[in-house]
Amino acid sequence: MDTKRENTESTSAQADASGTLEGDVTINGSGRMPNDIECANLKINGAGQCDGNVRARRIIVNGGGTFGKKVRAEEMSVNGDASVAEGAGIGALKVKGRMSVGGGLAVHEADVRGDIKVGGDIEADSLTGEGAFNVDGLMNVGTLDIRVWGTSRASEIGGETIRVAGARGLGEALRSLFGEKRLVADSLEGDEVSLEYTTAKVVRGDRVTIGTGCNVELVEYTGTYDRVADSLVGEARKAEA
Amino acid sequence: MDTGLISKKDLLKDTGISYGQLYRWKRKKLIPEEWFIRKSTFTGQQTYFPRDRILVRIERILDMKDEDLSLDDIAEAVAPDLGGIGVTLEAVVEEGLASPAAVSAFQAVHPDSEALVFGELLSLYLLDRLLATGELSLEESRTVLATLEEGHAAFEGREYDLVCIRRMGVAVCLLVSSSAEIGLESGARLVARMNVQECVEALGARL
Repeated sequence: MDTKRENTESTSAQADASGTLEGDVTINGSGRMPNDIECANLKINGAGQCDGNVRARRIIVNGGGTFGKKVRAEEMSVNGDASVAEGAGIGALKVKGRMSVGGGLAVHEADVRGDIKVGGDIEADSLTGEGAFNVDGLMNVGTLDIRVWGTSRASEIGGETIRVAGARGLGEALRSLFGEKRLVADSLEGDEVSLEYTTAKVVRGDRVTIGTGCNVELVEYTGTYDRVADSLVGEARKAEA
Repeated sequence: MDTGLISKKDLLKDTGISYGQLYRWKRKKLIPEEWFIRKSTFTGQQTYFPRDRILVRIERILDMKDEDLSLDDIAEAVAPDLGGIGVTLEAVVEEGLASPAAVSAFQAVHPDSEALVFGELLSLYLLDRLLATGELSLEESRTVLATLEEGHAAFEGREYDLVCIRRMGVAVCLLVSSSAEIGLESGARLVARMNVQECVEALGARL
């Protein structure tokens, strides 16, 4: 095993008996940590690889971070690129750049500017941001408020408030290089569902708004339903509440 | 359609809860993942739930919400963390958690046991319910206990049932995931099938 650690500082990182996370781990340049890590602060400036499970209060990745197993943290910021192989549980997640998670991703709050890929399900109380979102499993999100560019995919999306818009404003021309802005999903269900540039088989909710660029086969609503002219809806049905 | 199941749409209509509530409760683990049963229908994928259990659970959540409990409190109540408890065998009998017959069967296998952790208590409770059917001999209860004690770990975090089958005087017991259907040969008879998670909740409520 490559245990190149000359650029790695580790100052007594460990969890004491009560489970309090202490100590800092910093990787400057490039470094690889072969074992599980429990610490207060894990910082990667450059390229870092952690082969074991990581549990930390705070994780900051500036550059590239590769996590071979699971990651748990109260806070995680990614400026650059991070990948987690076996699932992540994060209190507050901020991504500027790209993040991919092999298993499921459970977060309290996530703000994403860029590209996120999840192999399992996403569970989040709140997920905001703009970029391309690709989720192989289900998205269960209390409040989803995203602007999509490129192609985003999820099989099922459910939550309280679901707002999907197309990216606009400065930089949209640049972003169009990533391809058409569009979210593709089998189903979206929520109390309030407001969509743009979304292709879906079915949208169900209390208050449903189908905006510009949408193509939805079936809408079922219990409260209100609005649709702009610049959209395609196969059938809209009012269901009894 | 299977009469034991209820579709998501009917569930929301019958209980008056919203999509948002349902998803939130799932996120907070108030409703187990296993209860979301996906089936392909001609209109695409539909989600169904075990009717009786989901209706009872939702009623309970709504009752507790009326009492102003937080979702975390409710989660604790419906899926209690019982890892840390210890109950003596005397207390088990006194509290009526299991019959003296079940306790002595348990003692025959674990002669040194005095205080039970939750897993052991659960095994004892299940054994007691099986014995109460009158279909199981004390001798056979050894197999039941061994099956439970060896099998628990493999089903960690999933819904599973304890199943007891009898054929020509021989009892066989097994653990299966709750969604599994069982087909028996004609000479065999299903003696009991009990959902372990329900027993965890029933037991949790009495501690």
